[in-house]
Formats: sequence, structure tokens, C-alpha cells
Amino acid sequence: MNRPILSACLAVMALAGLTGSVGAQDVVRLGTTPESYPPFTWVDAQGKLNGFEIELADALCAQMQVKCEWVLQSWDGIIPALQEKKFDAIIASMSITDERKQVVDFSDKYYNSPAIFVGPKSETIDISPAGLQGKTVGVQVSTIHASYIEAKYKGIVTIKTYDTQENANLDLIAGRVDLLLADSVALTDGFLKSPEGADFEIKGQPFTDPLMGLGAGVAVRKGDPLGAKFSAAIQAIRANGVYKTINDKYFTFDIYGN
Amino acid sequence: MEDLAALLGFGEKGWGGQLLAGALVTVEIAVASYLVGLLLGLLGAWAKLAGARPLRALGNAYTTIIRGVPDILIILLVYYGGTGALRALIGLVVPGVTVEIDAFAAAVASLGFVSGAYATEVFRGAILAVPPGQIEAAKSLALPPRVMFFRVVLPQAMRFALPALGNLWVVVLKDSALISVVGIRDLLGSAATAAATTRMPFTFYAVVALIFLLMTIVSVGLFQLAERAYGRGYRRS
Amino acid sequence: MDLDFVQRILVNLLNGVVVTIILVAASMVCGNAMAVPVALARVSPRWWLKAPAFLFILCIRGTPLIVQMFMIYYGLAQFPAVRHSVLWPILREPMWCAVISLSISTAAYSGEVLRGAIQAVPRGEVEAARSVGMRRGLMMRRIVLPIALRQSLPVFANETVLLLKASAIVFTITVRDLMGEANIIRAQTFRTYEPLITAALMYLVLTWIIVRAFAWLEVRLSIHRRAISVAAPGRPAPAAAIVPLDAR
Repeated sequence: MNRPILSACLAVMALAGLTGSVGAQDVVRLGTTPESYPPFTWVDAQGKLNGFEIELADALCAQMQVKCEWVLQSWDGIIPALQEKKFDAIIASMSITDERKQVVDFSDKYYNSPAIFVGPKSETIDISPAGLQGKTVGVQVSTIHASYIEAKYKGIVTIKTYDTQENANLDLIAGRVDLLLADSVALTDGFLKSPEGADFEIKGQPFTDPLMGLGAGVAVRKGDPLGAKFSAAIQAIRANGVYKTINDKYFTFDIYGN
Repeated sequence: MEDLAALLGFGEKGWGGQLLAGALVTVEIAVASYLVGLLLGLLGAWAKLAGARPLRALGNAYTTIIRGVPDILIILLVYYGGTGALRALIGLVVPGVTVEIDAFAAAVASLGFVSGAYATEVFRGAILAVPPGQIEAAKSLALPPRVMFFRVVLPQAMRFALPALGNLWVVVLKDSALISVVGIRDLLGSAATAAATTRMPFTFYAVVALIFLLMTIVSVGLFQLAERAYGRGYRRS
Repeated sequence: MDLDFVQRILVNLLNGVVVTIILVAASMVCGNAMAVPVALARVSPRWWLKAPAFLFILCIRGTPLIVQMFMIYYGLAQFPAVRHSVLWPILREPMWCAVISLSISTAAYSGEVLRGAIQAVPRGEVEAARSVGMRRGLMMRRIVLPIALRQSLPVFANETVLLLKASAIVFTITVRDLMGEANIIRAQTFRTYEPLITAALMYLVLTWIIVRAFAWLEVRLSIHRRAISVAAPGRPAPAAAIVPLDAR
């Protein structure tokens, strides 16, 4: 029973492991998160990836004339996974920051939107060190919003970090946090417009800060020329109107920002 | 109740297809990891029983570390760090070949690594439980060591190993739920997406629990059948 | 491995160790306390006690701990009825949800272990108790349970180590235990090896402490059964090396 079955299993496993490597050179693998981040990326009930970033990536790949395929990776390990060559580029609303530039290279930005605080309508919360004293703020781990709140409000607020933005949203609905700090578009489209978000509103004004980087860019491994190719493609589709077409499907304003 | 059926079904708004696909991935990962674990277990048991001193030390270190460190930590370490080391190792042995280890293979490697340590202990205990008289008889017939192992020791050891191997399978099946933490779209991962999108976590996690429970019950039943088949010819002690 | 970096994160990780110890201690106490009634119900001749206990143990041991934890933390919060109930101040806190979840899990696993130990108590003791007219309850309390508990100490040591390993999952429900701190460091600094390997070493130390503590306890409780010759110096204490097969 043992030997022939053992060798068969070994052979199957070896084949399965190595077939991933053959012929993988002419395809660009893009890494994104399986957790939904509407309207930028989300997974519908049929399992298909949708969203502004997915369509934008398709357009960029068409412009660069390469075949692209998506690889899913959870957010908190996405940069190590890039370095481990599980994929070749990250398109997951990752902002260009100095901290990240130490470990990866970025293309030019492909959108830039401000951040907002969101809280329950029933409470008046003033966005200032005095007004936020003692409050609990939920952020997604390893984001520009987490860095911002750690730098600006450490010791004033209790910070709760979540593996996904969606779980942070769930806890705001449950009342475990008083406020969320995240991207304005993600929170308005993804949360405030949903039925559960009806009891919540934006607190204060949308804002940007140097701590929060220069907008979202495509992350590639250090020294990879792919980053420059993406930058060229972004400029090209900005120029020939493809960007605008996709943009207008999702937003009433130009999300490229300034 | 109709809403529930629509949500879990296979229609346009139904997440049933997604959950089923996720369940398939879970089973694939669990089976592959279990097989890898069995292989590592046999190697580990051999290292601990018949190997030279450095091999025995390696085997002991392997089992001690896995038994003392949480499974999720080992999985994260192997998944995010180990594949690089593995590629370097393969690069040493077969230079010039770049092996891309995709997410599935990395997950199987990490879970298999963990279950291999448990399997080592199972096989070691089972091999030690074979009556020494059998080994003496085999030696007295001048059977070469490999024949002795595969034809005399292992079949008898399997009888002792099977209950524990059944246990190990259930452990691997449940541990495969941890793989969702790295982002693989297994059963729990698909359910988490569905739960977040529909804002109904209890519903979807309850369904996941039910599916796992069913798989566990079926597995236990199958293993009991196997135990009965293997125990044929032996009186119940 | 950047040892300089390790030094900088040591404080964060040690904070996590404190949380882990509190978590494991609380779950161990609550869980094992609940395990006794669960085990007694499981061996009870009354079907209305035996069946629920059997189902409880089956459901908890047949589903992954991480799913149970998600159901308690994220799942229960889905219902407004729960959010407005008197239990909410407890269920609101991730630490409490973690303790509840780990205790339930421990109750099921330890309950099953205890059931096996109760059924393995030598028949002679049970018969002797019955022959002097002890009621079942008294027999359980004075004869069977003490023997069962002492005999299952090695397995309880193993169960506690498994509890320690299972506790690492609580980082998924935002508890900042050792694993949680290591993961936050990992996500913020993009380094894989340093935080995870340091955390692994800390877990190994904690495991060793648990194993030694139970070995000492076993010696203390078995003193009346040890032959004089066994107490000779240099004789190793009974090893608690059991296969940890009931991982959660």
C-alpha cells in the first residue's frame, strides 16, 4: 500500500508546485486585497472583482500591452508578499509614503483623495485634540490613516487597529469605536451610502496631510522597471481620455486630485 | 427565511457559489497539507528513531518548536518568510532554476510543516509500539532494512497510528481555517467577504461552522471504517 | 536578524506577553471549572444531561476556534437585541469575547479529557464505594473525581499548552496579545522575521514554564504513591510528553 501511493503523491505535489513557475514570465501579476474596499475594489456574490481600481488596472495593462492577472493577498502582508515575488505589482489603494519608499518603488500616483472622520449622528464630536480626548478611533492597520492618528493624536485617543476596513466599519456599527478615520471616498461610497451607514455622518472636514502621502500609486519591487512602465501608462490614459471614462463611471469629480 | 435562502443560494445575490468554491479550496489545502505532513512525519520519525545524533537533534528541535509555538505563527512565518528561504535552498541545489511558489503552494507548505511535526510523534509512537519480536524475527530472516521497514514494521505500525492519524486529519482540517488570515479565498475567507459586504457576520460564520462540522463528522466516520478494516484479524484487546 | 530592531520592539512584545498570560490564566480557570459539570453531564445516566453535553462537545471540537471567535465577537454584534441587552458591556470588549470563547473551547476539550479519566477510574474503587452505600453524587465528589483529576494531570498539562497556542488567534478580534503586537509591528515595519521569531521564542519560554509547573504539581500530588527508591537523586520527573493531537 505504502510505496506506490507515496511516490504518486510526491509526484503530484511536485508537479502542482512547479507548474506555477513555467511560462509565468510574460504575465504581470497584480496583487490586491480580497477584502472589499468599495468603490475602489470589491468582490461581488459571483466572486468577480469589480471597482474603479480593477477597471483602471485593465486599462493600464491594455495600454502597456501585457496580460495581467490578479493575485489576492491580505493587506497586512502585502508588501512582504510582493518582495517574496508572489506578484509583481500592488494595485490596492496603497498611498505613496516615504516610509514605504524605503522598501518598495512606486509609479506616479493614479488617484488622490482626502481622509475623513466618520461618527454617529447622535453624537457631536469636534475634530480637535480637545474634542477627541478619550474617544476610541478605529483604523485599518498599516495605513496612512493609522500612521496619521498615531502621530497626531497618540495619548489623546484610544486607537484600535483592524485587519480590514470592513471589520472596522462593523465595529463602528456595533458601537465598539466612536469614530473611523479612513479615505473619504471609501467611507462615503462604501459605508455612509449603505443602509447600515444611515445613522452615521462625516465629522469635521475632509483633509489631507503630508503624513498621509502623495496619493495612491502602483507599488513594485525596488529597482523593477515595471514602475516606470506603469507611470508612462498612467500618463497615457490621462491624456487619451480613457482615465476620464472610467473615472466618470464611479465619481462625479476627478479623483486624480492635485 | 426567504431572504436567507436567497443570500446563501446560487442566484444573483446568492453567496452559495462563493462559499462552495471556498470550501473546495479549504479541502484542497487540507488534503495537500495532510499528505505533506505525512511525508514529513515519516521522515521525522525515521530521523528520531534511526538517525545519527545530528539528525535526531534536528528531529527533536522540529517537534519541540512546533509543539511549543502557535500554529498561526508558524504559518505566517513560513508563508511570508519561508518561501524565500525555500527558493534560496532550491537555488543552491538546482542553480539557475527560479521556482515561483504561488499562494496555494506556500499555504500547503506552511500547514504541512506544522502537521509534519504532529505526524512525526504519531509515527514514532506507532513504530515503537510494534512488538519487538517482529523486528527480531525479521532480522533473523536476514531481511534488508528497507524491506523490513516497508513490509514488516510499517503495516503493523499503521494499526496503531490510524486513530491518531484520524485525529490529525481533523486537526489539519480545522487549522486550514487559519489560512484565511493570509488572504487565500478559502471557506472562511469567502465567508468573511460575504459577512462584511452584507453586514451579516453571524449568518455566514454560522454556515461556515456548520460546513466544518459536517466535514469533521464525515471524516471521523471514514476513519472509523478504515480502523475497522485495518484491525481485521486482531482481537480487540 | 537585526538585533538592534529586536531591542526596540521588545517592550511592545512584552506588553503583549502580559496580555497573553492574563488571557490564558483566565480561560484556564473558567474553562476547567466549566469542564467538570460538562464531564459529569457527559457520563450521567440521564439522557437529558448526556445528550446536550455530547452535542456541546461535538460542536465545539468539530469547528475551528477562529470561527467560534468570529461568531462571538463580530457575529453577536450583528443583532440590535444583543447590542441593547444587559450583556453588551461584556460582549463589547474584545478581551472578554476572547476569554469567553477560549473558556468554552477549554470546557469542551477538558470535559472530554475528564470524561475519559472518569471512565478510566479503576472499577474496584467504584464498586467499593457502592458497596458501602455511597450515593452517586458523594461517590463522584469524594472518590472518582479526585482520582480522575490526578490521573489526567499529564493530559491537562498538554491541554494548557494547547490553550496557550490557541490564544494566539485572538489578534484577529483586535486583542493586543503577544501575537497581536508582533503582527502590528510586522504590518507597520514590513519586517517578517524579527517580530515573528522573537514572539516564537517567547512562546517557547511560556510553554516550558507551563510544562515545568505541571510536572511539579504532578510530583506534589503523587508523593503518596511514589516508592522509596524512586525518590533517589538524579531520577527524572515523569515526562509530560504526550502527542498534542486535540489542537483547536
